[in-house]
Amino acid sequence: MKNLFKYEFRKTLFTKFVILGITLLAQLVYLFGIWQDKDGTVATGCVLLFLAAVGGIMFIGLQSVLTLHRDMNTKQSYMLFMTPNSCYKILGAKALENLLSMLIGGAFFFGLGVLDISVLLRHYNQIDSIMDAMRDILKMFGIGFNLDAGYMASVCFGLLSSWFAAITAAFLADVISSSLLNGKKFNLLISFIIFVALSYLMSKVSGAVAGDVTYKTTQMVQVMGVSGEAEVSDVAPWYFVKSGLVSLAFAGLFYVATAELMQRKLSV
Amino acid sequence: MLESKQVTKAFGSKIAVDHVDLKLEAGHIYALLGPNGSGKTTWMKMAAGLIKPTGGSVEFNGRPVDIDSRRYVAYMSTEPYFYSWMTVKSVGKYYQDFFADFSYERYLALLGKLRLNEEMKTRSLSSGMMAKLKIGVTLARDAKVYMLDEPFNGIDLLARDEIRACILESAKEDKLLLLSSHLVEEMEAIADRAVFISEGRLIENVDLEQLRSERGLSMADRYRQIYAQAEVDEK
Repeated sequence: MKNLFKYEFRKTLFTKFVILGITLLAQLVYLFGIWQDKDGTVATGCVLLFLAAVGGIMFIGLQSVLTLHRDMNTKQSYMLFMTPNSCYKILGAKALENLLSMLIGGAFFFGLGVLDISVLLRHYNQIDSIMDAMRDILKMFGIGFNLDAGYMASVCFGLLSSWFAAITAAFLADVISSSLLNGKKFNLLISFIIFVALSYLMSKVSGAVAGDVTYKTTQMVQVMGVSGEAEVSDVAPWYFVKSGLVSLAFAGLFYVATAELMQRKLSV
Repeated sequence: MLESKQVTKAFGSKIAVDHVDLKLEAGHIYALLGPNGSGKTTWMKMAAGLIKPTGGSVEFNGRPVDIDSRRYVAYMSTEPYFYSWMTVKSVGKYYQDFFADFSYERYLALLGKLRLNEEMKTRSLSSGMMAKLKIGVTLARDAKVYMLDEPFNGIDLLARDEIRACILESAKEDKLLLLSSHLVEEMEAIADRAVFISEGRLIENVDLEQLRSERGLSMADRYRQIYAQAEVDEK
């Protein structure tokens, strides 16, 4: 398993360097904007960093699906499937590498974000009060705006888990395409429909288990010196944790189904 | 050692291997012969556990080929299959990581014989060099069964001599070697048995010495008999 993991990591190394390079460029734009006091450049840097973070994490996931596809449908499949490793181990190494890469990537971008925001707060002293004012204005329109660490962690957990489950659903759809549907007409289209159906099923079950995403409270709001009560819609604190756990359960199911299908039906 | 029982493989409506019963024993070098599309590669891939049969089974030492049999069966595909980022050295390291019977020392010795440099990148290798690398890394395993699919493909005469020497060096009493090739004369100098396949069906599994002494035929003569007749029948 250790060796499989090592080579899975090696296969995706180039992409990780590219994501790191793009992030470094965005970071330089951001820091240059702060150094030169150019708000437009800072904003550009922020947007680029956000895109690098979201795009980077998404692409890490997508790349693992592409790698699995290549590992089943090109001659390099022999490198993997002639080794004395079960499909459970082969797929497990792929899923684990992907999950860890997304976690490490997520932690990296989260840390970078915290660092960049603290640099921004130091540079613009008044930003704290601007944030408070924005929070109250949003509340006036009934939108909660919560940024505490626990909430952020639960959001990250929920999003990463559901993205990971989506990747495992894509693994299953891809293996169906390469085994049961291999050589059949509209093979890719059918496997894409299977992926959409699995994702839909997952979101329905997740929604049913986790409950409503939002809940309403009445809060005091102060805007431009005028204070009053407003009904504010906030994201339920346990929503992302619950939906994340459901996603992980689905990921486990998809993993077993995929590995079993590979073991029984996959010819490379 | 390696036995296929009524093994069949169909790709859609095309039957690549058709109810083949074949028993291969240790201590022999088998030439697997047949024209293009006769089912040689498909049979080998089933024996390597890379392709699942549609029917029947391939067994290694009495058990259907599975993950465990991959520890003892060394398969070399005719197509290049190394990852594009690999060097000759990392190919060896990869095999060392996954196969307990792989000897890096033997790999280095084979690379020396085949005149390959460890630092070469696999994506920049010529087809001849790639064929040598595949042979080198496969024979550096101390496997029970070696299956080499078209080992002389795209290789010049001198390199063929080097490869032939390496193959013969790997032949031992307790090992089974199975080589497929279109170069019948080339195989005649290596193999002691020949397996003829046509249109997915086994035609004959013969001892070449017997073929020569009892029927007065060389492997090439028998090849011509079988496949020329098949062409006439087809017409």
